[in-house]
Amino acid sequence: MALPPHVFKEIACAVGSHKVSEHLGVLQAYSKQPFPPGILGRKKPDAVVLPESISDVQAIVKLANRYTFAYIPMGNYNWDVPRQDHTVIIDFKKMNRILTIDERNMYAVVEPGVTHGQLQAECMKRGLICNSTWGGSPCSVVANTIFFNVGGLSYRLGYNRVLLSMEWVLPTGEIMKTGSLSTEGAGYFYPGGPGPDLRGLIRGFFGVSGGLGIITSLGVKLMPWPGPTSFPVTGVAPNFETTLPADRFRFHLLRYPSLAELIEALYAIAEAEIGAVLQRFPSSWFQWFSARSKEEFWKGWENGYLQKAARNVIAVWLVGFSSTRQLEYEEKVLQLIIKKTKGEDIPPSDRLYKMADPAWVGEWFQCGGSGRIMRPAGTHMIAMVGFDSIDHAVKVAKRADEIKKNFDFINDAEHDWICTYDFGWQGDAECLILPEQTESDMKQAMELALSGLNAALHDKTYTGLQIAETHHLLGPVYGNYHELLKKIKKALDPKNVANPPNPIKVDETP
Amino acid sequence: MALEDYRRDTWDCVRCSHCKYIHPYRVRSIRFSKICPSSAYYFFDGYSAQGRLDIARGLIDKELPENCLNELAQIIYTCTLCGGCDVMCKYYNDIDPLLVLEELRAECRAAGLLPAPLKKSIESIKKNGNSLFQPREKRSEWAKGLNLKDIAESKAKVLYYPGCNYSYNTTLQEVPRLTAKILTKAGVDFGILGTREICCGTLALQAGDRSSFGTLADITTSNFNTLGVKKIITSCAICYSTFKVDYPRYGAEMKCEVLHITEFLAQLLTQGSLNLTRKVPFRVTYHDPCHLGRLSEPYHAWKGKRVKYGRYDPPTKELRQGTYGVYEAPRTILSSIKGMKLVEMERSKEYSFCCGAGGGVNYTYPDFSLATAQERVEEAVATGAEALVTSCPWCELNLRKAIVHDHRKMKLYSVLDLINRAL
Repeated sequence: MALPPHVFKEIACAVGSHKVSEHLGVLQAYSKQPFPPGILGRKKPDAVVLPESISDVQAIVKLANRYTFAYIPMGNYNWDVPRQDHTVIIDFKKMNRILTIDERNMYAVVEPGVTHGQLQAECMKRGLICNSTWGGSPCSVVANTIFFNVGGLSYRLGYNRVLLSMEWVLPTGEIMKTGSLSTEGAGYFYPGGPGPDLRGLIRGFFGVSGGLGIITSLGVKLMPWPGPTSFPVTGVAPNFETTLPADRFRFHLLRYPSLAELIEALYAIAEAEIGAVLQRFPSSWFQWFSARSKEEFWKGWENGYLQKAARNVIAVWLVGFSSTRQLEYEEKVLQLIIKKTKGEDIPPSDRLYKMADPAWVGEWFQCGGSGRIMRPAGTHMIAMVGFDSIDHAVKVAKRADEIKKNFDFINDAEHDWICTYDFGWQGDAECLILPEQTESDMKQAMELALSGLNAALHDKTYTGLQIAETHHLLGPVYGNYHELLKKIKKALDPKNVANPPNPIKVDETP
Repeated sequence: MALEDYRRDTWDCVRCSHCKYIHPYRVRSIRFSKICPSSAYYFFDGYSAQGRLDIARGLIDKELPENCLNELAQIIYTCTLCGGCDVMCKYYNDIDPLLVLEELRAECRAAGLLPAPLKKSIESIKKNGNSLFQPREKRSEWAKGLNLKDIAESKAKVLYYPGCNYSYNTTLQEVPRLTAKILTKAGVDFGILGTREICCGTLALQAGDRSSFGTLADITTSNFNTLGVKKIITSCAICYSTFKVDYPRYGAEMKCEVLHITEFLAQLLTQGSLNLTRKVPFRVTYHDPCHLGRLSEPYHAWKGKRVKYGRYDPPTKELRQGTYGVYEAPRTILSSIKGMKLVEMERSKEYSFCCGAGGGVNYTYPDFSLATAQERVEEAVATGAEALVTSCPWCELNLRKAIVHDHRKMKLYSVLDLINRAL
C-alpha cells in the first residue's frame, strides 16, 4: 500500500523532497525484525523521512494527524517495523547533533540521531562518560534513555537515573518541554519541576517506543571518567587489546561453590557500595563475548570447559572514579568480602579471566561487545525477566532454569543472568535464549516465553513481556494498569497515529 | 555462488547498524565516526550494508515484486565496495555483506542493468587492455629512457607491474619511474610486461561482469605462468588485491608471490638494502587504501554449506575480517624517513574511510564519489598534517580532485614520492 500521492507530496513540501523517499529499496531496508514473519507481524513502510529539525518532525506529525497515517520514530535498531498499512518511518540520521556537553554541570544534550558510541567518545575527551547500554554502541542515546537505559554501569550510575529535561513532540504535533527546559533560559539540567516532569510517562517501564510521541532532544546526565581521553585500544580487529590504567580500574572474577554463596557475596558487595559493575553471568556469555567467529563460539562451548569453570562466577569492576585512593579502598573492602564469603578471586593468569577481561573491558565503557550475542545462532530472545530485588531475580532465574530444560536451546544457565543496579537495590534476572530465525525455533521460543509467563503468574513474580500484545493479559494481574495506559494513549494520541499499537492497543479487541 | 546461497546472511542481519559506524573502541569523535560512505552520503538505510542485505533478502524470498531490479540498481551501484561494513559486521557476526553486494551486482549485470559508464569502461578494457580509453601501445611509455627489461624477452626474477593508472596517467607516471629507479639502485633483477600488460579486471568484477573478469584473469595468469614469473611487485593497490585475493577467489591460478611496492621497500629498509638519508621535515598523515588494507587479506578457499545455527560444514571457513591487510609496511617506510612525523587519522587501518573511487562510483556517481573524497580530505586536514600520503593511484586521483575542488592547501603524495625525496 502506498500513501496517496497528494499526502506524499505534502510531506515532501513540508520537509524538502530530498528528505523523503518512497523508493522500493529504501522501504525494504526498514521492514525486518530479527524474527521470522508472523511473530509480531511486519509490513513495509509507505515512506521514510529524514527530518533535520524539530519543525520537520512537527510537520510530519501534524500531517499524520490530518491524513491519519501512522509513524514510527526509528533509531539504529529494529525494535519496531510497521505492523499496519500507511506507516511512515521517521529516521533520525540527519538529526545527529550533540547540542551541548556541559562539563561543569556534567550533562549533555543530544538529538535522537546521536549514538552511544559517538557520545561516549566525545565525553571521554572531556573526562566524562554517559551510561552504557546493552543495546550496543549504535543505539540512539535518546531512544535508549527513554526506553530502558540499562547497561553494566547502571549498578553504580543508576538505573533510569540519567534522563533530564526533554523537548517532546506530542502525538498531536504540539511541543512539550519538560523539567527545567520548561522555564525560559533554564536549559536541560534538571528533570523535575517547576515544570512538568513526565519522565515516567514517556519511559513507562520498558519504554513506549514512540507510542506517545517523539523526543527531539534531551538532556542526559554524565559521570566522571577517570580513564584516558580516548578509549585505549591496540591491535587490528578483531584482535583488540585494551588496558585501562591500573591505578583507577580493576577487574575481578569471583567464583563460588554454590549460587546461594554467590548471592550472599553479591549482597555484601552491594551493601558496601563498592564497584562500578556487579553481575553474575551465564557460562555461555564468556564464550560469545570473546569468540571471533561462529565456529570459535561453538567449538569453545562444546568442549565443556565453561560449563564447569564459569558456573557460579561474579564479575566485578572496581573503578576509582574520584581518586586512586577510592580504588584502593574498594579493593580492600572487596578482599575482606571475598575472605568472609569464601570466594575464589580468579587470578588474571587463569584461562577464564583471560577470556573475560579483554572482551568485557570495552563492553562496560564503550558498549562494544554485546552485539556479539547474535553470533551463535543468528538472533537472541529474552524469554523471561525478573526485575525487582536480587532475591526475586534468583527466584525467577531458578524457575527459568527449570523451564529451559524442556526446550532445545543452549542450557548454560544454572540460574541464568543476574544483574544488579543501583548498588544492589534492584536485581534483574534474564533468561536469554539463542534461537535461529526459523519457524520451529521461534515457535519453541514463544512457547518458552509463554511457559515463563504462566509460571510468573503462578509464582506471583514479575512477568516481564509488558508489550502491546500482552497488556490485556497482564493488566488484570497488576491492578488493571492497562486501562490507565489506554486512557493515556487515547488522551495523548487521539488519532492513534504514534507507532500503533504502542504502547497499547486502544481498540477493544485483544 | 549465487544470491540464493546467501539467504542465511541476509536473515542474520538484525539491523544492529554496526555496519554504519567504525568500531566504538576506535571512535574518537562524532565527526569521523562513520564507516560507510554510501550511508554517510545518502542517509537512508537502503544505502548501507544492512539495507542492501534487506534488498537481497527481498529478492531471494520474493518479498519484492518481480522485475524490480531496474528500480533497485541505483542503490546497488551507489556503493564503493570498500569493505568497511564487512570488517565491522564480522566483528559481531558471521555475515559476508561484501559478497552479497557483489552478488547483487552480478544479478544486475545478468539482467542487463550495467550502468552505462561501467559498460563503456569494460568495453575499453576489452579493446585496449585498460579502462581509461587509452591505446594499448602507449602502455609502456612511462618507461621510456629507463632501459628496463622486457620480461618476455629476457628473464628476470621479479615482474614489476605498475597497473593502468600509473602506466597511462601522465600526472602519476613519476611513481613507476621512481619505482624502477629505486629497484635498479637496490640491485633488484626485474622486468616489465610492456604492452602485454593489461588491466587486472577489478572494475569488471566490481561491476558484476564476472565473465569479462574471468577472461581478464585467465589472460593475465596465463601470461604470468607462461613466463614463469615467481614474484610480482605492483604499485597499484587494486592490482595487488586482485592478484592476491580475487584471482584465487575466482579460480584463476596464481603460481607467483605478489607484493605491493610498499611491502617490498619496507623489506629492503629492514634488510638495510635501502637507506633513506635525507631529511624530509613533513608532518604527514597516511590514507590506507581499501584494496591494500582490509581487502588485501589473504584468501583461503572454502567450499561447503551452512548448517544448524549457520555453522559451516566443513568447519574450516576463515572469516576475512581485514585483520591481515597491509597496514604496517607503508607506515614503516614513512617512519623511517628522517624528520617526518606521521600522525594518524581517526579512521585508519581496517577502519579507513574510502577515498570514494571504489566500486566504480567514480565513473557512475561522480558527486557521491567526490563528496566521499572531500570527507576523507577533511579528516586528513583535521590531523594538522601538511601532507596526505597514500599508496594507490585511484585514491591519489580521487583525493586530489577533492583537494582541488575545495581549494585545500594540503599536499598529496604517494609513498614513493616521499621515498624519492628521502633518498
